[in-house]
Amino acid sequence: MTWVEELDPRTKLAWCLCLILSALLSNVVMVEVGILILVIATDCFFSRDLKSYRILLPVILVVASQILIIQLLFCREGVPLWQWGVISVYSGATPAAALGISRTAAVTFAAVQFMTRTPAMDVALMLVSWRIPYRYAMLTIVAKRFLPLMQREYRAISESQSIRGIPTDGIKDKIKSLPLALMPLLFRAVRRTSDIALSMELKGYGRSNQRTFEKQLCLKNREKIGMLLLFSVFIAANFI
Amino acid sequence: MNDSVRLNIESLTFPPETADVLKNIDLTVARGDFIAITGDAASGKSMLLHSITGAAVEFFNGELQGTVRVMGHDVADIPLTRMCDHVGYMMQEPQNQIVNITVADEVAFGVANMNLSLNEIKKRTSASLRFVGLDGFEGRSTDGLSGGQAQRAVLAGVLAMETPLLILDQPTAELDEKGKQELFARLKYLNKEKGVTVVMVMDRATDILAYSNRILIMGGGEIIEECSPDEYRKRLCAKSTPRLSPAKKPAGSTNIELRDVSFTYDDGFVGCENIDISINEGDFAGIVGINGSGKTTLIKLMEGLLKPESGSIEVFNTPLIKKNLSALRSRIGFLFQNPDLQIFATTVKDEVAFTLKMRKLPAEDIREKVQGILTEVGLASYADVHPQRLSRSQRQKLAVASILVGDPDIIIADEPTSGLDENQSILIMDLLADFHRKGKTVVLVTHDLPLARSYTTRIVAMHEHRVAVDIPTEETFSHGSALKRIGLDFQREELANDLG
Amino acid sequence: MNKKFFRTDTKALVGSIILGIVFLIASQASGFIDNLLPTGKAGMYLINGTVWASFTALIVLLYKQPAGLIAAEVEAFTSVFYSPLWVAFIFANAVGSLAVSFVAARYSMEKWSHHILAMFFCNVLGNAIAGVGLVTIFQLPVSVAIVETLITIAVAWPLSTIVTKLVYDSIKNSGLAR
Repeated sequence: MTWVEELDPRTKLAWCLCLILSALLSNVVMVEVGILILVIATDCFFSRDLKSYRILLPVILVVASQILIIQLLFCREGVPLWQWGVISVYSGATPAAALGISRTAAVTFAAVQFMTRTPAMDVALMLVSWRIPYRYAMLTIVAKRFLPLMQREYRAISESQSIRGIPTDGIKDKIKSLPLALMPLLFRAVRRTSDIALSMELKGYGRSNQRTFEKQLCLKNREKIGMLLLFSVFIAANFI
Repeated sequence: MNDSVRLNIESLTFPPETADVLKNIDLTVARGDFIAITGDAASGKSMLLHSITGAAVEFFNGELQGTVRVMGHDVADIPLTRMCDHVGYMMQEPQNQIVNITVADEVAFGVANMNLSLNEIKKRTSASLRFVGLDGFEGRSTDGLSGGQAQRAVLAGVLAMETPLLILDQPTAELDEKGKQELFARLKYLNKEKGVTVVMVMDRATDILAYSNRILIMGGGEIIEECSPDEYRKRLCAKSTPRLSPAKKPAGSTNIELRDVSFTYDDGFVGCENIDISINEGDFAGIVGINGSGKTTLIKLMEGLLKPESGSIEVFNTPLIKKNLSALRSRIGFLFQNPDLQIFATTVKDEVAFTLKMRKLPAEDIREKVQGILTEVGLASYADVHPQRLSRSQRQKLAVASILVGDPDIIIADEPTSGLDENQSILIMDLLADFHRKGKTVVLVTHDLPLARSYTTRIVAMHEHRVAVDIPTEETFSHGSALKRIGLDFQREELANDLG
Repeated sequence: MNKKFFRTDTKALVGSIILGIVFLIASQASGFIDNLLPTGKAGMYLINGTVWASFTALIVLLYKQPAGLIAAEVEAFTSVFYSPLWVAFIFANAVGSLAVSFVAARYSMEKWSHHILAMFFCNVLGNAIAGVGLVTIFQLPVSVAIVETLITIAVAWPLSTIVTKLVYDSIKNSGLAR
């Protein structure tokens, strides 16, 4: 078990929230970029696994292009740099786009770091520690368990519809084929819900308010001190 | 008190529907019984089990006239979440019963809900895992388990609760022959050595005769007969239903041809190696092989879902490449293992009409064709019913109808009888046989060797990602030893199927 | 009111997660299509907005609360992997879900008018919060964000009403949700 995995999920959540709130409160591109680097550097240092960010990269690139286009078209801050008919590009567009893109990336990467480095069972235990009934808290585990399964099922449905001859090449075809893939998934999900719930109840899910968990959460002293320092830095950096 | 279960049901209904799902049930299950329940689709088998677990009323909101007692307690007085003190329940799809991320957590799920001590949980978890042959799997992800392993993990979780009564609803429907036999052997041990009472709805009537002491046959919501395994076996031998023999036809032109085709998945797993195979017009080819032998990859290559890394594939003498795909697929019907992957419409007739609507046929032609096909597959009276209201086998028939209406030249069927009982399987296979009798081609992937022998004209046996044996079906017994070497014992399974 | 608003049995809780995952997959698929359209390139997710409102309503209609909120948050938190607006979704999804719940608790949801009303509140409130996200996260000019939000509501409200009513009726007819 790595050092990061041993950390209490509440410590990880505190770290994640401080980074996200700092990114949202700051209006300085360098701060946003700094947060981004901090997330990547900590992941590089502690786990050397950046696969999840690679998946995010295309999403961030699409969003970045959207922000840039919108700012170039609609931003009216600064002085006009270029004009063609009704379209004008102002000097404020690029800094605003840079801030938007870097903030988007910082917020997303910080959240992904928490989600990929915190096991679902730890999240459930964290919710239990906040006195949320275990019947609700353990749903995080159910979500983690069924997400990949149902994604595979969606791919299988899309494949089966495609080999049935349903065209999906153009945008119009893609829009038309969307309900053909989603409806079987929806019907199957409702059917599956019943099976899962029945199976869980017949295994005593919810028979009493308490349940035995193999692991107990325990916030270590060094983590408490770390969180205190983290909040101090957060307040100093954003409010003082 | 030697009774595990005492059922006295006048009727079970599900309002607003008024029809009785169960009626006139008077059954006593003694401790140590191993009862197999069989019967047609919608005969009430599963609901009989759920009247024992209490779910019929508490979970499915049924109205029950009568009493059900389990271990001396009235089921009406036991909340569903406390039923695990008496009854362990396991159903068909293991993936829908696994809710945890690691195997250890899954096996411990029930006992942890019972609020036992951590030591007791660990003791029971490791004992159960050892019993089902999954020791060492504690930390493994449940997502990566094979069908058989997943089923064993579910069984381990049920056994860890140490209930005196086990209720199983078609637990082998998704297992191959080896997995089935392993599960039966474990159930037999629990029944004989530990005195656990077993009540089981079977997907194949013959599979479990060697283990059970009572057979219940259900029909129309009633137990229409009870007999001993010996009586049941004798009856099977007496009336063994002659299946439609495959039409013998001279080989026609080549429909599908694979030349030296190989495929490796992104993770390095070899799917197929150097496959040379021609499927001819009028063939009814059964592709068989143990799990992981390359059957699914082969069929995906034929469907154009995977692109071969070497070699070539031609369908109707046309290269199977992207630009030809949609034209070629309009001449091929694909029947999937699970019909629910394709059914999306809100009525049976709309589902069948979809292919014709895509081809922009006149409405009158569509109506006529749909009516004709639904009559052919026996679903005409369900034309306006929502497809999700049909039983699993009826939904599979609907999938066949959706294919047949497009008048394809070939049907490629991937385990179309998986999860169906024997009678339902025969109904689906008879539809494919009818299609074949019209001179058309069928490619069938199946685990069910007796089924393959009964219906196909040709057996293609896969082993270690290659075609190991490719012979006319009538020669399967003369090639018995070669097939046995690759894990396909036609003779033994045929015998087991015929004699139980 | 209580019975029409809340449902806390295991089936409803599990349903919230399983349909929450379908919600997520549908949002991903529709978001992908939107990205190919010129409207999507300009930041207006019209198909995604329709799918979002439809699923938000469907889950509430099938499993009530807190299932609607749980599913909404499952979608919001996991959307971190495909949409940087996930912070806004945390609030938008919750408010949209509650809006449908209040209408569904008051009316039978048998008539088109009930669905039109529910989807109006769901779309207006949800998209307004997403609009705030466009301004704070994407740094869009306020006027542009308002126009984009209004266009999204104008398209998604009627479409999502039709989709929700048809799919909800279909699921009811299927007998699966009994």
